[in-house]
Amino acid sequence: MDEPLVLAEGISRSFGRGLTSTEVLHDTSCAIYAGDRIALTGPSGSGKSTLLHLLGGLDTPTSGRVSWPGIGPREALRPCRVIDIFQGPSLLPPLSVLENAKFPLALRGVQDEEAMQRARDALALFGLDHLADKLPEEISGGQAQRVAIARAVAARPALVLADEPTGQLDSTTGSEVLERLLMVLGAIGAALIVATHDPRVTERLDIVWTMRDGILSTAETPARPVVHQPDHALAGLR
Amino acid sequence: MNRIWASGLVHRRGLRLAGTIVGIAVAVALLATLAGFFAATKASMTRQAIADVAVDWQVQLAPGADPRAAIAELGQSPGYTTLAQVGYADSPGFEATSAGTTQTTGPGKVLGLDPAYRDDFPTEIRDLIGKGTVLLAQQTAANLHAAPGSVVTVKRPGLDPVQVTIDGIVDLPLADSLFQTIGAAPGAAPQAPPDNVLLLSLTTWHELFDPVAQIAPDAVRVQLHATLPHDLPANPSAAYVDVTGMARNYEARLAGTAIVGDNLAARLDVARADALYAQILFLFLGLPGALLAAILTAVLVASGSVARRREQALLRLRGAAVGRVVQLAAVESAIVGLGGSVVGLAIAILTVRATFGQWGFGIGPAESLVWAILAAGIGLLLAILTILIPAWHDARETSVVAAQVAVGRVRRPWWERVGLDVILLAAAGITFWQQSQGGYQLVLAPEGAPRVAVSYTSFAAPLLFWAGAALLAMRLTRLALSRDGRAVVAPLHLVGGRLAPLVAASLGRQRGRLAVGLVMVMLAVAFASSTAIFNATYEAQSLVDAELTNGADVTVRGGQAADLGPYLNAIQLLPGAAAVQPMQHRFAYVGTDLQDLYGIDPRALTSAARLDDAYFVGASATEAMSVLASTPDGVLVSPETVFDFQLQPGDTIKLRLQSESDRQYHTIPFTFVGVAREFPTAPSDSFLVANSAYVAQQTGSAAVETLLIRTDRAPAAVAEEVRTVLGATSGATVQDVENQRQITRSSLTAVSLYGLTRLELGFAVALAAAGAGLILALGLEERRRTLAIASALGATSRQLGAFVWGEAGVILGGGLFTGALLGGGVALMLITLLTHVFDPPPLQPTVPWSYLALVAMITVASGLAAGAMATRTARRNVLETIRQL
Repeated sequence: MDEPLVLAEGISRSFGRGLTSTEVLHDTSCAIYAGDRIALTGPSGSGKSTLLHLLGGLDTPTSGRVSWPGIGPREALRPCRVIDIFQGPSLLPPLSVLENAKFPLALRGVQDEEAMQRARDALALFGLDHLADKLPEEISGGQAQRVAIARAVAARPALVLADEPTGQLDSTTGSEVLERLLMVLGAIGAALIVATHDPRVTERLDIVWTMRDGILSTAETPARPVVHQPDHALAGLR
Repeated sequence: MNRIWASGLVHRRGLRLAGTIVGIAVAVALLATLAGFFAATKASMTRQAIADVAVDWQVQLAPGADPRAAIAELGQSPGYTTLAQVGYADSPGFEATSAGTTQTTGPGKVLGLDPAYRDDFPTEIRDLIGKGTVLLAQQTAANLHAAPGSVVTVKRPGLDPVQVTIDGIVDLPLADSLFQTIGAAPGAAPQAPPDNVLLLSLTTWHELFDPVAQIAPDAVRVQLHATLPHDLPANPSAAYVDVTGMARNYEARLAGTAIVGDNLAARLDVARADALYAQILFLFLGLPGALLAAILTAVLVASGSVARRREQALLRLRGAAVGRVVQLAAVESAIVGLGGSVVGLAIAILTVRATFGQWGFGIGPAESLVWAILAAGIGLLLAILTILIPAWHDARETSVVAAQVAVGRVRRPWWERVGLDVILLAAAGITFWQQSQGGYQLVLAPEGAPRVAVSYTSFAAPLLFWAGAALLAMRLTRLALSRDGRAVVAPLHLVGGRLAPLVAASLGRQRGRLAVGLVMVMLAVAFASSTAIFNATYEAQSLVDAELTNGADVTVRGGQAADLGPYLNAIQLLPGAAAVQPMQHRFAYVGTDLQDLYGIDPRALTSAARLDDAYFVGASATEAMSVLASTPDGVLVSPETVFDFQLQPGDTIKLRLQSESDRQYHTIPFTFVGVAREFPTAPSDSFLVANSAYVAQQTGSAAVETLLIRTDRAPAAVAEEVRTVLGATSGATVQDVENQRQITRSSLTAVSLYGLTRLELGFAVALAAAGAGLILALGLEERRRTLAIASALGATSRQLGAFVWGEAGVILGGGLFTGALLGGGVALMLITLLTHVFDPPPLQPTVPWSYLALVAMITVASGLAAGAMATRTARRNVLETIRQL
């Protein structure tokens, strides 16, 4: 078996100090491998977003350890190896849709022409190419969320951490976007973990993790590895 | 709810609140401090104006009027602190015989003085030689070749002449007012004081001239010279109205038997014009500062409007009614309005105390309270206008989605489409051109009129220039950052590397906001630099004025009675005396007009004295001296003389100078070679400058009446050494330029400007720092979310810095550059428009580089601190910000 992309060992996360201290994540261990499709479910406030932030290296556990054996040291995660898709609006307001899509590539120092092409391809994949020159304020919330997904795809990451990525989309569009995302990630062999309340999203993913009161249950994890076949239609994004 | 909201604002939006409070505090402090400046200035103006009036009132009694009745009325109202009777009699002439020759003068005056007069009015008469009760004026003594002990025959109208023995020779420094024509019509040309004056005791005068009064009543008059109680209003205009009113009332009560020569009102008349100059200076120099502080505050508050609007949108999403949203905005208005006002008033109290040495902002506690309430009210009004009103407007008019938008497409504003900036600048240029052509008066103070007025149209040019330049800078900034900021991509490579196009695009999309920030910094820097340049130029000119009045670093004046030639060598040997130049100071008749004549060595004079090109007409100082040196009998005359005598270069001008041999005035031909407006030690009206060798040869006297000394040590110390060399009996006076400068400084306008500019320069630095730092800090606080997203996507500190420093570069770099340009332009405009404040007018502005460097450094440091803080905060609070997405 390959080494995991992310390995969490007995991590906990508390907020506040002293009497007001609250532990939102308790002694959690898990691993994510290349190609994993994980749905992270649970009620609001159960610690899903906190776990995503810890697994993505945006936050540091109060105790325990997170490592990224299949990716590299923490400094190597971003801008392109690990990508977050946030729940709320996460586009940079002063940049156009196209510039937003290529932003992680520009951070990584990818040549402008190549970055531009990859961003255009990603936007086209999600039917957004006609919005390339628009500013975030000029598109809808659903379109902005799709741009954030396209931005993640354009970066060709090893791991995508998505927090309710289709929350602002209608069910049909949400399903289409998810399918596209799964296809692309399958093509590049990336892992996906999605925090969601939507049962239709959960159904489409191979693994379901459940969070309840800061405790993670990974009982529904199937035997590894889950192998996805590349889609030749997505060759341009590889 | 209100308390929770207030607590949340303090804890979560501390920077925003603090920034806004600082902005409002600066506006309030500046306004209150300027009020303090006004109060202090007006109070000191009246006090200073009347402090050295020798005789407040000269009451001239009608022939036959009873002095006792006039004195009784005067004692009743307005009262007096000192009073003396002075007799004035006309004499057809004086005659004296010396060395076998008899000299006769033209008509003169004989004054009779109370025994206590010299003590009561000490500045009217200055002893030159001898002491006693029979005194001869210096000029008359020269005309008669008289000295103490000489017998002078005094002619009397209709009676036989009488003889008196002279006790001493005196100078009458205030002869103009002493011999003024009392009751002359307003606007009438002042009458020259008499050439020949004899002073007697009042008893002797009565003995000699009471009989004359019987024969020729018009030839004899009695005046009452009085000092009034100086409990006058602090405002010079009000004091002027009071004093003139008292004089009219007194004249009316005496039913035409007395007329008041009102020297006090004449002095207050000048002071009230000076008060208007102070008002003008306040408007030109102070008002832009107050306006700038208000605009800056409004922009600072507005820079938090996006976050504020987003918060309000969240409140509305969660069901808050419009009333509740407005109420919560009122809470923020109250916090910043009250906080800013309290802080601002505290700063103002300390500043006024430190600058003007008084507590409070007005004349008296009531006026101080009014000003404090007014300034605090303006602080609150600013908070209401910039927070509450927009919140109310947004809550009623804007959709929740629109309110959450942080950056929108930049639209071309209406003023840019109609070219308002160009129109304003063109109007400023035309107005300035008209006003700088001359012929306009900034302060209109008709003689004798109770009201004085300011020509307010003169404010148009600078106001239009400020507004036009600000809009033009905004247009140019927007233009430079248009097309996705392509014009700034190249310089941004320095900080952004491959990210430069994205940073440039980001700047381009925010060009509207950046242009406002740049213009704010520009205005603050321009305000600081224009005030500093104006102030430095004024200071430099006050030194020039002092040098001109004094003549050199140290000047020794011997007068007609003391030849300084014998001291020349000893003074040249003094360690601090870098150069010493002798100068003759004689008197010469041009026609019937007696003028000061200065005999110099034109090749060497500038080694000791400063000559500016502005002193001469149609030639530089070097050229004028060169022409004089090459024409031994050449003479430089004043413009009035050129006009009066219709002189052309090369004309022979015949002057009458006193000869050493016979003490008589003889005609000596000179050649007119140039025109001098000013000359070291010369009076402001008519004078003559000639070669000393020619004057000595023609008059037979090489006596030196003045020594001009350039020092290479402190002038005051050298002056002291010179006094030691001269000894106590030389009769010469020694003055140094620093002392002279203090005397010049104490003139009313100088005092006002000094206090005002000190105040302004301090606030200018604060405004520049606040403008740069707060605008940048609050702007970046607005973009905390943008920076947090960028950070979450993997931007390094350096990459985040590219966005921050790109923005800082545009605002600081652009603001400093354009601010320096605008400040220079405004300073030149002010110097031209306020040319009446300068004496002499400056040839070019003086630039205080050290102060300007300080402003630039503080502005940059403030901006750098804000940028560094923003970069650090962006990386530190990523998750917290993301949770708020």
